[in-house]
Amino acid sequence: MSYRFIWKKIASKALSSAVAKGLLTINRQDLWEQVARTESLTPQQIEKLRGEIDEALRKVEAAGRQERDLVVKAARELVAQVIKGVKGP
Amino acid sequence: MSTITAFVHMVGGYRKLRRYKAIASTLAMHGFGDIATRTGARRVWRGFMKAVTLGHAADVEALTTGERMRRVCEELGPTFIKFGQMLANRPDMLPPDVIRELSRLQDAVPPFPFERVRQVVDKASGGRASEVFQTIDEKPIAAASIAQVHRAVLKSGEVVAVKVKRPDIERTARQDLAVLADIADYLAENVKGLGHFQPRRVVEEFARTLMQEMDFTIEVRHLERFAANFADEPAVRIPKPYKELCSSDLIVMQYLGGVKVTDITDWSAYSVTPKEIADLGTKLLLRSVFEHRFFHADPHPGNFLIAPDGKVCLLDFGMMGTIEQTRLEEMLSFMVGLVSYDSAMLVESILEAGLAPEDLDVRGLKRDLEAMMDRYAMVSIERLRIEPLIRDAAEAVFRHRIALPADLLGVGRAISVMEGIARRIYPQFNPLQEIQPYLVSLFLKHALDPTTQSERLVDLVSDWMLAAKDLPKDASDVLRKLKKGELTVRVDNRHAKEEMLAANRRANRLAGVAVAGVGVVASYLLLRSGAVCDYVAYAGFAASFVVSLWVLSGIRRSGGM
Repeated sequence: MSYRFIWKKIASKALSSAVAKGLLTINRQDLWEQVARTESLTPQQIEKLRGEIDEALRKVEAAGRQERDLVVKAARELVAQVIKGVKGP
Repeated sequence: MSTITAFVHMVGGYRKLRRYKAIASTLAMHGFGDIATRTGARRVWRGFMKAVTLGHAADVEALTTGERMRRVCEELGPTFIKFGQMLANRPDMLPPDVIRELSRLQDAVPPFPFERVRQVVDKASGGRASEVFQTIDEKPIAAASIAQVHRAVLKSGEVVAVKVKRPDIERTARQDLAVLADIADYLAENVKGLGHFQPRRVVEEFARTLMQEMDFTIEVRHLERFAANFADEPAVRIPKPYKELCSSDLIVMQYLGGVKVTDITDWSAYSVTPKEIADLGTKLLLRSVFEHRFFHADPHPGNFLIAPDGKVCLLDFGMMGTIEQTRLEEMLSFMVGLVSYDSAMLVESILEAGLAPEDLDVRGLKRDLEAMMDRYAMVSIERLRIEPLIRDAAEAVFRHRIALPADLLGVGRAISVMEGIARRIYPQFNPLQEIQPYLVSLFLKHALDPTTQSERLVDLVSDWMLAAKDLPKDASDVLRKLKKGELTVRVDNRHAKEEMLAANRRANRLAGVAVAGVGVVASYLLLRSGAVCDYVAYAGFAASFVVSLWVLSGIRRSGGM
């Protein structure tokens, strides 16, 4: 297993968690209304699917939370160091 | 040793030559003499083929191209039957009447002698077949183009199915594939519009699938993978292989008894209804395609048995379809667009998949697909069938010179075949009611799945970083070479060879004309001077005449001056 692979896994989990958090936060009502208009799914099927997708998003968000926090912390640290360097001692 | 090798090569070459001859004469007999004379077969039997073509011209005229193609495949045996069956799944390449005829190709062939079965079983068991098997039925329970299956009983008392490969099938297939490749090259060069479908690649893809199907160790792996994928499905049975007894020519697997699903007339004897079986079959297919990306590419009724306890037994895992993860979304978009009658989504999925030619008339394609979908939107949901919907969409796409990928066509075929089975056992079966909610739900789950999208983005960034790492060094190398005047540019002219040959031919013709002209003048001067015997001058005239004929024949063959 290469170093690159390990870092890619961490970055991917962190990004997945961030995207899941974003998707859980934003309002997706429009999307479900659009699906209902196509009549591809019954209202019951839409409700069930919505529940399944929300559940999956919550799982992904939780599974990568640690990595997401780590990446965010590292990024903040990096930005702080850059700003410190620009400002000078 | 070298003499023996040379002899073996000679025998192999002779066999190949005989196969070429057989293929060429069959093609010629069915009115495809043009192909036969222009491919590798020309070297073997050109004159004979011409005679045969003429002899059968009357018979051939009465048949359609599709019928003639089917007959050629049937006469040429297993490889061509399989190839014809594969072509029957390419509505983007062939017209509907030819597809209809090729779909009639049957895989059933007469069984081979039991002695061969005994030999293969004995070899695979290390010469101790009698210690492993109690009995092996001499009469096969099924005989197809690649193998035949016998029922047997192990010493342990377990009933098994023994699948044995046909003798010499691989060698014949290799020879046939070489001829098919020649035919593909000829068609690509000579049939207008066919080059776009890359016939050579179609043959190569077919060759890969066929050779895989002939390697039984791969089928054993397929059995295990498919069984693992459906371990959570109690209504389904997949034969368990006895791996220690299997080889590349033999599969020993659990015997699953049952009745062919379409042969059941009285369902009251079973604990399941035809509707349940139709729904289950569709669900299995959709799950295997879109969740496992590994599906049964040959789901005909013979591979679908119903056990006395109502369980579904799936058989024959030689031909399996696979779909790459990256292609799944494209395929899903295409299928959702199709079953939702959304022509915009269909066109977008085609463009995203990079299937369209550069000069595609996007508006025209959208208009054609819309017209096609309007026709289906008017059909009541109870009467709607998926198979013509897929076929019509493929035809509309084909008119715009879009080559659909083989895996998508394979999925389309599998769904169509499954729909056919479901309708035969349960005529009220409504495929769209099953397929549409499944596909739309899966599509939304994929679209809102952060893991897949994130992994793809991270992969992309990672690749860019790798490229960026080498960029300064590469740029510096190029600049250094440029400064020193060492930078070389290689131009690859794909048609250079043909152009060179044409130029050589032109030069030869010019030389021929010059030689003939000089010959005539020299002969005339010799005749007038009387310095030599008159016959020498006449011989000069004759030689000049022959050279002139050669030049004229060359000009005629090339189609003009």
